[in-house]
Amino acid sequence: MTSSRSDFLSLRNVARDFTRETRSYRAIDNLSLEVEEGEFVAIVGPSGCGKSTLLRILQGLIPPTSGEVSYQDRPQEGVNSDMAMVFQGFALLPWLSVRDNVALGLVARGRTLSEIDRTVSFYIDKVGLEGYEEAYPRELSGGMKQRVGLARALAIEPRILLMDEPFSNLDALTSVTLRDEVLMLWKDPEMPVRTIIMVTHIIEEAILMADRVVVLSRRPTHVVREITVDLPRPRSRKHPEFERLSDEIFSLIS
Amino acid sequence: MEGEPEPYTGISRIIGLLKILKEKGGASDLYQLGVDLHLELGEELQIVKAAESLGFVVTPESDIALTPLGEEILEKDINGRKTLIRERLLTLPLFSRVFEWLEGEEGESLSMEELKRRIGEAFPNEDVDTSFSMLVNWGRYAELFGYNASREELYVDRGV
Repeated sequence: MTSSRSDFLSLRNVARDFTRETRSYRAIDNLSLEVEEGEFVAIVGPSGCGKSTLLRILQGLIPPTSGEVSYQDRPQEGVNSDMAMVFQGFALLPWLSVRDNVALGLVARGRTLSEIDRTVSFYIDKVGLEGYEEAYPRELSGGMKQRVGLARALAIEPRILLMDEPFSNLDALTSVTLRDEVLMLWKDPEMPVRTIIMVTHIIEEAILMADRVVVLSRRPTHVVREITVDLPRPRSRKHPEFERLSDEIFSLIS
Repeated sequence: MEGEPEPYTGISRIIGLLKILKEKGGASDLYQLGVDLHLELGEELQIVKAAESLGFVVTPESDIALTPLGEEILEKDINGRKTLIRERLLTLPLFSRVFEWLEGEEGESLSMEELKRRIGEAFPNEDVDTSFSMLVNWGRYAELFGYNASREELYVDRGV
C-alpha cells in the first residue's frame, strides 16, 4: 500500500550542529522535507552545504540536534533498516570478490546461506554483473565497481535507496550509462525499491533523473526551493524546458 | 576519476557514447563530439574505434553516426544489452578465435601466458596485453568468458 505524501518519509524543522575544535557551528537549520513513496528525489546544493549529512540523518546514522525525522507516520529512531546507501567512493572491500561484496549486507542481517545465495544471484543478474562474480574490485572499472555498490544496496531489498553522489567518481560516458541503468532498475517491477533519494552536485543529472529537485542553501542549510520535473522520460537535454529548469536551479545555487 | 586509464574501452563507455549520439539526433561531427565530451582526441578515437568494431557506429569521413544496431542496443534492458554484445563479440576475429581455442581444451580453459603467446602469433599487429585485457573485460561483461585471477586462467563462461 502506498503511503500518502505526508506520512511516508519526512523531516520537520531539522537542525544539526557540529563541533570543530571547541567551536560549535550549525550545519543544517530548520530543514523540512517530505518524500512520497515511489518518488525519485534529487537533492542539489552548493558544495559543502551538508547534502551528505542530510542523507545520513535520513538514514538514522546521525541524529538531528533538533527537529524530527518521521517514517511511515512514526518518529524514526536509530538506523532505518528499510534504507540502503550507494556511496560515491563505492566502499567495496578489496579482499572480497564481487559476489561476497554484494552479500555483505545480507550476512550482516543474519540471513541463511541459501537465502543469501539466491538473493545475491538475483541482484547480480539485475544490475548486469553476471560474469564478474569471482572478480575482485581491483580488476573492475569504476562503472563495474559502482554496479557492485548498487547490487549490494539493492540486495537488502530496501524500500528507499539513498545515493550519495553515485556517479561523481566515474568518467562522463560511464555516468551516462549508469544513470540510464539506475532508471531502468527503478522502473523494473521486480525491484522492491520504489523510492530513490539522490544527492548530486550536477544539476543536469538531477533534472535528467528525478521527479523533483530539492535545492538547498549554503550553510546553515535549509530548503530554498523544490522544483517538480515534469519532462517526459527518457529525458533529453535538448528539451527547451530542460534548459529553463537548469538555469533556474543554477541561479538558486550560485 | 577512478584509477589508471584502462588500455581498452569499457562497454559502459561505449554505450554512453551511443546514448549521447542518439541525443544529438544519431550523428555528429567527430571533432565537435570530442569537444562536447571534453575528451582528448586520442581517447575519443579509442572509444569510437571500439564502438565501430562492434558495429554500433560508422565513421564516414570526419563524422560519426549510429548504425541500426547502435540504435537497437540502446532500446534494450541491461541483460538484453549483454546478449547483443555477446553476439557481436563472436563476430570479432580475436574473440571467435580465442573461443575456439578454449573450446578445444579440456576444461575449456587456458592460462594467461599460453593465450598471450597464441595471440601474439595469430594477431601480430595487435598489442597482446591490451587484447588480453579486452578478452577478460568484454568477455566477462558478455558472459562469454570467465577469468580466474588467482589461477590466471581464462575459461568459457557456461553460467554455472
